[in-house]
Amino acid sequence: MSIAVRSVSKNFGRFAALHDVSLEVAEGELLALLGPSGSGKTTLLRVMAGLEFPDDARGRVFFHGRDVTDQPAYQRRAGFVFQHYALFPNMTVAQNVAFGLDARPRRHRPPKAEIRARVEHLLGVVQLEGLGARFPAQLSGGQRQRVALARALAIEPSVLLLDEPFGALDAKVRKELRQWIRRFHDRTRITSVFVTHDQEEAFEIADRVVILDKGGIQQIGTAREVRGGPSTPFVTEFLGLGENI
Amino acid sequence: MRFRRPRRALPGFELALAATLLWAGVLVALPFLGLAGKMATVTWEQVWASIADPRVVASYRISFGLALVAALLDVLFGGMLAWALVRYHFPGKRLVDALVDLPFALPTAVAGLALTALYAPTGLLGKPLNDLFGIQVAYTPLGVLVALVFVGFPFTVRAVQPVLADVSADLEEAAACLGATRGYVFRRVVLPALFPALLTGGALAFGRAVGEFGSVVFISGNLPFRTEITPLLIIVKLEQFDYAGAASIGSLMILVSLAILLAVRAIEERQRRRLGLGEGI
Repeated sequence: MSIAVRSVSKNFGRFAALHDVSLEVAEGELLALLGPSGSGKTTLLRVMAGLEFPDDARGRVFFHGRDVTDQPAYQRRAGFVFQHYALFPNMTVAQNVAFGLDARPRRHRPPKAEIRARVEHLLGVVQLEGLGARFPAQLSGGQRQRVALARALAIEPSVLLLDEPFGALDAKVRKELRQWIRRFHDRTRITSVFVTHDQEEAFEIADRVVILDKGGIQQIGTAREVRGGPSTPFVTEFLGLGENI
Repeated sequence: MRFRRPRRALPGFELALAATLLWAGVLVALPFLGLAGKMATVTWEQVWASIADPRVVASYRISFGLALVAALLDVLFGGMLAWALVRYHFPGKRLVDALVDLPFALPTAVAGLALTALYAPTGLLGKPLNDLFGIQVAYTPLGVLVALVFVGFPFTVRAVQPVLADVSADLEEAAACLGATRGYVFRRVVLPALFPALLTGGALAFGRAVGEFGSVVFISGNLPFRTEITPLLIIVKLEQFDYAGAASIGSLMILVSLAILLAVRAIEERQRRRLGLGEGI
């Protein structure tokens, strides 16, 4: 099991964002967390990343069988991609991608030439060759999101977490990028979890889809399983399957 | 063909421009014109005699030198205060936030008297400082510095506060996910984002400190060559009916301050262009 979440609850004031949620993500899987806003999908992703912590000691998070619950984000080394890219505006594209390597303590830091080579390679992977000297403000939305992806990949993360990665893009770029992500995942097989509120997106590229509502998991399954047999009235309604029944 | 004015999407350009120019003209430029008019009646020899007088030259060092140090301290402490006000919740936060503006509102003479009473050799802070550490604050350059920091720090706090609130949490979280420690995130992500605001706040605090008069004259003791500030010398000249001398020194101060503020703007502009953010204001 690549990522495991056990009995996680998370409240923000009186709002219950997650209620006793358990989930396992298989090695090499591309998993979608799907749900309406307020369903807890982003909170679940942030708990995985170590950006939020479970409310009580029963809630645990495991990466590859190792308990990482008590590790803050900077020790977990999960690649995280934000909806609004979160690129560092004062750094060039190349500096952004190199950030995770530059940030390492000296004895773990690769030599400068190696960092430069790795950045070049990653920019090639996300098809942004030659744009390393640009600043984020000079790129389009789709390009920025690919820089954010390259930056997350630079630390060679064991898992990749994407929070509404296509949410801020226009329809055409969105479609292209999500197919590109699927092909990229087929090539690399990095265990990946992405959050979306768009069911078409979830079913098109994810191996399995987790449907959440009001802080709880409603159903987990492949597109066919979920569409073929919605397990709760909420899933039926949320997916718009009502007229088929 | 008839001349056609370009159509603009935003209405009111002419009116806004006219109002701006009138405002800038009457309130800002007119007094300077008066000063320039005065300067026209003065010979270069007179100007030089006024601005190169050793006592006046010593006062430049106090006014500009201490203003620079004060601005740097304001950047440091104002930045820290802004950080605390934006990032943390603590009891009395609203009160502290309101108190920041006090130096703006307080008559500077009142501030000067209060600071003098506090830091005088017999004062609440001055006595222990003197007895325990042998540090005298009032009637020394240190006292002048205290007054200048006091009047300047609201500028840096208020310049940094909104920018800091705007530095999106995403950036810091992204850096953390990439394995960066808190210190590294602050140095490489937060500080660069705050740099323009710190620069602006520092420039404003500097400008204010250079021209500061009311709060300084009480605490400085006005010792020639030691704690005498340039604005005070202008007053002294006026009291001696040496209008030419006062105008000469005043003009020099304006030119130096203007040059420094323009330089700060140029740095900001270069920064903006470097980041591909366009021309800015």
